[in-house]
Amino acid sequence: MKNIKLKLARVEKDLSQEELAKIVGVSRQTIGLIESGKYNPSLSLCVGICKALSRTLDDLFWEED
Amino acid sequence: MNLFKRTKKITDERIENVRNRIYKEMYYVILVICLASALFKLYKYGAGSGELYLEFAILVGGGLYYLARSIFLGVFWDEVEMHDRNSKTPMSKKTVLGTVALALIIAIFMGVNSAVSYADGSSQGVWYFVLVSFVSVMIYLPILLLFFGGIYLLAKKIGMKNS
Repeated sequence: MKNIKLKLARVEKDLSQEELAKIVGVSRQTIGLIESGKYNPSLSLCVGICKALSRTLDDLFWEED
Repeated sequence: MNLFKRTKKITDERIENVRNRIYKEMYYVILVICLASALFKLYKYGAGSGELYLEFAILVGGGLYYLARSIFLGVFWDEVEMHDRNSKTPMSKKTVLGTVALALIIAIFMGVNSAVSYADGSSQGVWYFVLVSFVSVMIYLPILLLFFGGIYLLAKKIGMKNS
């Protein structure tokens, strides 16, 4: 399932996948795969992404039914 | 001179995970090559030629390394607990039953081997089979029980200590 919330938060912060990846310390492809829902990140990576985008885990990774 | 300066290596958990998966597959490939080599040597040189030591060392050494690491990191006991949660027969009982079965298989193999190789008549064959099988069980059962039971208890001790 695609993570639209993550993509929106990144775009709002005016960051490219490459820039976010550099801040968090992963590859650009990993960010792309998380956004497209093809990779399940670890909790520490989720927290890193949340901190980089000034959001909470709920904002980016909680799926509403 | 930044050439020898140590830079912090950036690790990507996804790349690390994929790399570990590849290592796992690589181990299977090595096992298959090893088994193929062992079968080829068995076919070409026969069982008693002593040509299979390297393949044996790779197969058994890899298995023992995995066993030791999984016991000392506590993963072995975690798996036992997960198994006991879902299974009606606990792993302790399965270990004992499996060990007894293995000892019986070895004993029957030894008994049949000695009856076929050394007995002159059928009555002597039966006697050799019973005698050698009985002695084999007496020798192998305690050794195997100590070995597998020891592994189980050691894993339990370390698992309990970690949790």
